Formats: sequence, C-alpha cells, structure tokens
Amino acid sequence: MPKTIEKAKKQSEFVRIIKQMSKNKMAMLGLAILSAEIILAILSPYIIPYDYSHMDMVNTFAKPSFQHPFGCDDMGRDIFSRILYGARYSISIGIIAVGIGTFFGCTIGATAGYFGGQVDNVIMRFLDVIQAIPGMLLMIVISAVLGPGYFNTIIALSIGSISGMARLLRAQMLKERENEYIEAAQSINCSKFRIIVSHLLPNCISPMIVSATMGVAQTITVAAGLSFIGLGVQPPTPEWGAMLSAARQFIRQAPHLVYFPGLAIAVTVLALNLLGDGLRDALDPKLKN
Amino acid sequence: MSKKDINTNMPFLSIKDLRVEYKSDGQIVHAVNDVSLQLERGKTLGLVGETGAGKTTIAKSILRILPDVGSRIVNGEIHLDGENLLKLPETEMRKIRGNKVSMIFQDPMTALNPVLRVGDQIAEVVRLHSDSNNSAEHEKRAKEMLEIVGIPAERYYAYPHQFSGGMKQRVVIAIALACNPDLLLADEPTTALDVTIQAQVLDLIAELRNKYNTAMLLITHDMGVVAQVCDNVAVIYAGNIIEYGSKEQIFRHPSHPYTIGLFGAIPDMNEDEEWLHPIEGLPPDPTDLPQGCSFAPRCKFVTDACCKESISMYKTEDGHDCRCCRIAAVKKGED
Repeated sequence: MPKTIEKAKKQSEFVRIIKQMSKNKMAMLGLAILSAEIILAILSPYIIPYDYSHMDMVNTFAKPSFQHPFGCDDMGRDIFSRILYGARYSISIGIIAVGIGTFFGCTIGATAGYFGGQVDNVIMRFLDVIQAIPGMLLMIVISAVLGPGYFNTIIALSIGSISGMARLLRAQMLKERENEYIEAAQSINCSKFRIIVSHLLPNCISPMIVSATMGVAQTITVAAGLSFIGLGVQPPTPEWGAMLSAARQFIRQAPHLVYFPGLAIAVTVLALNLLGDGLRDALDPKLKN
Repeated sequence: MSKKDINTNMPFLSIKDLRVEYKSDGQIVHAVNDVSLQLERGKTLGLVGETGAGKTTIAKSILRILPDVGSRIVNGEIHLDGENLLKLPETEMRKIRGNKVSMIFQDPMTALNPVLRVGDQIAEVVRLHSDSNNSAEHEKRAKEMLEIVGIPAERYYAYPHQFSGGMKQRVVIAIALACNPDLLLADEPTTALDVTIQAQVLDLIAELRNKYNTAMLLITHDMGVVAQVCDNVAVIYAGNIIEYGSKEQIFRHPSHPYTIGLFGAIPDMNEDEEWLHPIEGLPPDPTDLPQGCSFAPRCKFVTDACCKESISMYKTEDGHDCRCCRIAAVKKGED
C-alpha cells in the first residue's frame, strides 16, 4: 500500500488524465488520428508531393493512381496535396473558433451562473434572443456581413458557439454553487473571483471540455458548410468544405473529387468525437482508481 | 487605545439583538429574532434547537456569509474582541474569515471540493491568510494539520472521494483550525457521522479547543453532544433564545416548557416505554410568527398574557435565564 501512495504523490493532473485515457482504446485511436492529422497539417508544405494550387491540365479528373494517390480535380490539381494542406485550414478553424467561443462562453456563463438573480436574468434573456436565431442562419448572416475569409469565418463560428457554451456552464454553475464547499470557501475568505475560478470552474469544466472537443468536430462541419455555400474560406484555398463545394458539380463523372474531402472531414470528426468521449471518462474524478 | 478599554469590559463574542430575515416568494421569513448571547474565550456554547430554528443563520451572520440575494441582517450588533463585525468594511472582514473565526460545516460529504486534493484545500486557507508566498511552507503547515487531526501526511495528495466520511470531517476540521482561530463555529459537526466516529470527532474538537483556548459555538440538536462538549447552553426556538444557562442548570432544572418537552422526548432506557413523548404540534411558520410567546400554541401552561406581547427573559437562578412568564407555574407543574 505505501508504494501506491508514494506513486500517487505529486502526480500532476495532466499526467493522470493521460494515464486514465490511455486505458481507453477508442479514445487513444481518436487521439492518434487527430495528432497524425495535426502533424501532417503542420508539415504539409514540406511533404506534399505537388503544390496545392499547381494545375496540370493533362491530368484533369485523373483517377487515383501512384502519381496521384487521391486523383486529381477538375483543374488537374493533386487532391492528396490539397487535402493535407487543407487540414491546416479546417482543423485550425475548428480549434480556434471553439477556443474563442469557449472562452467567452465561460466568462458569460460563469458570471450568470455565480451571481444569479438579476445579472443572470439579463444575460440569459440576451442569450435567448441570440439562440432564437437558427445557428446556421446566424453564422451565415455574420459571415455575410463580415465577408468571406479565414479570420471572418472564425469570428462567425465562434460567435455562434458562445451562447451554447454559456448556457452549459451556467447550468453547471447553478448546480455546483449550491454545494456546501462553496460556503466553506467563502468562510475561509476566498474572493468571488477565486471561488469562481479555482473552486467552481474545475468542478464544471469536464462537460465543457467534452462539449468543446465535440464542438470542434461540429465547427469543422459547419465551416465546411459555410464554404460549401460560398461563404467562409474561398477557393483556391484548399479548405475541405470549399473543395467539396467545388467538386459537387462533377459528382457524377468523378465521384472521387467528393469522396476524399468528405472522408477527411468524416475521419476528423469521428476522431474528435472518440477523443471527447474518452476525455469525459478520464476527467471524472470519481472514476479514478 | 480606546479599543483596549472595550476589550477588557466586553466578553470575547457578544451578539446583541440580532435579527435576520430571508425573503422568499415575496414572503419574509423571520429566521433570527433578537438573539443576544455572550461567549468567553476557551468556553463552549451549545446552540440547541430544531431544524429551521435559525441556528445556522446565527453562525453565518457572524461570518457574514449569508447569501447575497434574499437575506438581510435587519439589526443587531456582533462584537468580536470589541469590534462590531457587522460594521466592518469587507476588506477588514476578509482578514477575519477563516483566520480569526472559522466554521466547521455540517456535511463533510459536500463541504470539500471534490476536484481538489484535500491537502491543497487545507493549504488554501493557510495561503489566503499568510503574508508569505512560500507554497512549500503552506504545504508543510497543511501536512502538520493533517497529522494533528489524525490523518497521515502522505494522504495530502488524496482526493476527497478517497476518504471515508469520518476522515472527510477531520479534513474539514483541519481546514477550520489551520489558522488557529479564536472562535470556532461548529455547525452540527457530527450529524453526518456514526456514533463511534462522532465520539472521536468530538474528542478531537475538545482537545484542540483546550490546546488553543478557542471559543466555540457548537450548533447541534443532539443533547448527548451538548452534554459531552458544552459549558453553556442556549435553547433556540423559532429564531429566539428561550432558555440560557450552564449545562448543569439546563440539564438538571430545565425551566422553559419547550426545554422540558425536549428532555421529555428522550426515551428512558430504564423503563419499558412503547411510545415516545413528543411535543405536540409543529414549530410556528417563520413567515407568520404568533404574537407574544412563539411557543404558546404548543404550550400546556399557556395563558392569555402569553399571547399578547413579547416575553422577556426571566432569571431563575444565577446565570440561568428563561423566556417564560409562567415559570412559577411551570415549576410546580400546574396546568
């Protein structure tokens, strides 16, 4: 027994979560796929066989072959290179947009949930108004106003995810702040800020992390959707959704133009969802051994 | 230097005419009604009363941690060491919370933060009240506290869910005592524990209290706990102290009909009793307290005078007060 106690000593929270997660095969698979994608995306300028915008008119609509593993598109651009390079856009849009959305969502949700009363009322009614607009429509409107482009897409997507995050955190906060340990924290003189940040947030964060992870998946699909309808990232930038959008007119003659970007989105989303599930289990302190 | 003068003539803790209200659904709940009490250093005062009698509200008023929304201290003074806590600015109050006055909470299962290590939770209160930023020092103090309450220091890194109820309560006590408070507010510290652990925890509290000469306000509804730990007892009914005296006085000569009823409700082990003897009726609705004596509707000795105006404290013995205008009749047991 003393040995296990020694071991438990000083083990950081991060190491513990990783350890807990390493027992979950599916989560590790998700993490592996995602890490591979991120590494490939970062290294893409050096490893892609062709330039992503290099046109080769001889090879238009080429079927997958050794020269072009995923084939070529309507302008003879190598789809494999475009997908690897496009991962940079798709994944970073997802992560950054959710990151911004989570940050503001947390701030707003924590304020509403902790202070309650009138503060809560004002904030939540405002969010109600925003949530009454269908999510996709809201993002279309924002990106239509801001105009297409990488950063504008991120802003549109993050604004769309704020209210959901705020709502989630507020609900958690309302539940947690009734606990006696919050009173106990007040009684030993923790400031309000400290109670929110170091006592309440850690207790509310696991659903937030899970929802953020899955939110990245969702945001990638929505970003693809925005590109698909011509907002969002613009061609020739090889964002996956934009590729899908450009390929849709050739779906009958050359279905591989649609398969590979679609597959890339599907695999990424699946990996993120597996990871999110695993994180949820690993983050629950009651499941620790 | 006038502060020093006050210190000498005033008891360590003195509450005067404290009145606290909660607002709920447009109704006003009279939780505490003109409570006055005194407590000296090193002594223990037991606050005894039913659930909802306002015991916890009194403790929270002392620390000023009543909920922001819906509660109000209407009037009263709480003097600690000569300072009126209710008039102190928040910055001064923050030096008192957890340091000079600390609180042991009722339910150890929820009084610890489930995602923080127990040791860190003890170290937190030390850090909040120390001038130094040396976290190794705070950790050392937290480990010391764990040892004092009888938990090996290695368990510093454990999480609350790895502890049993009794151990959690020990941690809660360690948090409360980490800064050597002058006043300890123990809010039903043993209610959630079984009898053997209860005895251990009470011994522990008593030992630490004697060691540091801490004044303690023990909130409980368990007469057995009172008998074991307290010096003085205040019986609370509907937010008001109805009887106050030393432990011996209260246990030997309970004077208020309510206190007599309380003792009467304890089953006698020597006799074969089929039925308990509860006090008839229910505590009054705190949103609509009766005029006069709040116990009158349940009292056997009630007269018209009881229901007219509020009853003042009558002295029955030296240091033994009772809020009843029919003490003489009650003593004789007349109806």
